[in-house]
Amino acid sequence: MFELYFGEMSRWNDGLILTAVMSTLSVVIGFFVALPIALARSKSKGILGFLALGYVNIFRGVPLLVLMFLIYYGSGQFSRELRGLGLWWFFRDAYYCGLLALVLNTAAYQAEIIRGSLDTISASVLETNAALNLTPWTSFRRVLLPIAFAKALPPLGNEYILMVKATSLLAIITVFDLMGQARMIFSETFDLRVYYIAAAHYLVLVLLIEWALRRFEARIKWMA
Amino acid sequence: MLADTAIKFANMNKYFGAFHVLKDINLDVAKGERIVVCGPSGSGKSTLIRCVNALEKYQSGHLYVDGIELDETTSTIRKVRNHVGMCFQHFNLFPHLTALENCTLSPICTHKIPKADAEKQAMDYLAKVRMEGFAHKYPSQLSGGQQQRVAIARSLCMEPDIMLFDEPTSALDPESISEVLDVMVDLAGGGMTMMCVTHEMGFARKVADRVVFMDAGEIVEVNDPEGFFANPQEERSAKFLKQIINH
Repeated sequence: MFELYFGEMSRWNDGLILTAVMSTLSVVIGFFVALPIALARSKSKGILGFLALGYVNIFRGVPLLVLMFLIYYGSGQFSRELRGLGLWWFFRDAYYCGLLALVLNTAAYQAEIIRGSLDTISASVLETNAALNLTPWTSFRRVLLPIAFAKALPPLGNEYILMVKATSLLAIITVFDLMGQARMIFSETFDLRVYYIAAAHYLVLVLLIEWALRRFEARIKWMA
Repeated sequence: MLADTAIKFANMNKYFGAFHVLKDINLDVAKGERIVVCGPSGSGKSTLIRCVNALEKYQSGHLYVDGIELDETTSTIRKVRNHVGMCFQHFNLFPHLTALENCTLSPICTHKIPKADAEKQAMDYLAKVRMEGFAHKYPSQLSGGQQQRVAIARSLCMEPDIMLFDEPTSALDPESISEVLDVMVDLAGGGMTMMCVTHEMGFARKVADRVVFMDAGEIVEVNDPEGFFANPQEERSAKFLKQIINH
């Protein structure tokens, strides 16, 4: 088992870094995609709220692997049009396609998390904002968003950890993340123990994230 | 309308659905006048003062604040709210901001005052409520009375002409009540127009120019404090006073 790890250490490290980067990027970008969707879900009863609900339902309803196949393999059918639009460099690359699928998926879940915490902010906070004559933008950016974010932090951390493991699907569309490297090493050694090593890597990564989140939550001292 | 009238209610009516909360309210509050509103719970006293800064809408009649007639347009409401500060029963400080940041948020973001000036002004008002030593504490690190004093400073930072207090001491323990009332007495001495819903009859006696007694959505009696407490003119006020003094 040791030689499976130490003999291939640079590949394991590459895979670990790629998995960490892909999951972190998708969660961070997904957060900013989720914000307007959450706001529309929470505040709009009109067309915007309806569109936001549509987004959430579609991207929570489609399995991530199916989404990756549709974006990566499906876009090949439209390569001429995508070239015409100057977007082919993006869609021909498995890494970008995989990231897009991850972002679309996590944004739907994060939007629901943020909507939930926006909805739990009590009416008295809104009254205070009104009494202080805050503009709607200040009210959202400086008051509602920070309070909602602090409330949403534990479930958002949960989503981050889920995404770390979801990135393993990237291996199926030819991305060399941890799982991709494991498959590669397995194809050369036919030693099933490579998957123990892959599992240990995921576990360590998740424990690291869990520790970082715990420290971050502790730093928000006003939540006491 | 007289130039020295700060707030004028004229035949104002308000409904919550079919429920008639405020019935034909007529009241003039002069500039610099200190009004205490009291009455049994559910009598509409909080709703009355919440109309003044448009936290509640009214359905008929007129309400003028600093000469501006309140309607439902955003621009009028924003204009009126610039003149009116409000303190709530549960303080409602922003939990994620320090005392100082609570005070400077609206001046910086709404009134576009430079940060340094806003902070200097906020420190002055925090000193006025004797909270300058707690400027960098979060609300969760302060007692109820301290939070309410910060909330008062926060309202003062908007430099209002009128201050509304909605039962500012009813969520506090006895010690904190007196520290908050002391600050409010100071403020009353400074010539601020005040409308205060409270059951603190000692405070009413000390600072009120007039006491407004409400019951079931009506203004039953408007009297000076001495007259109101010693010799209430209406049977309902007498009954209310007896109930709150009898224990």
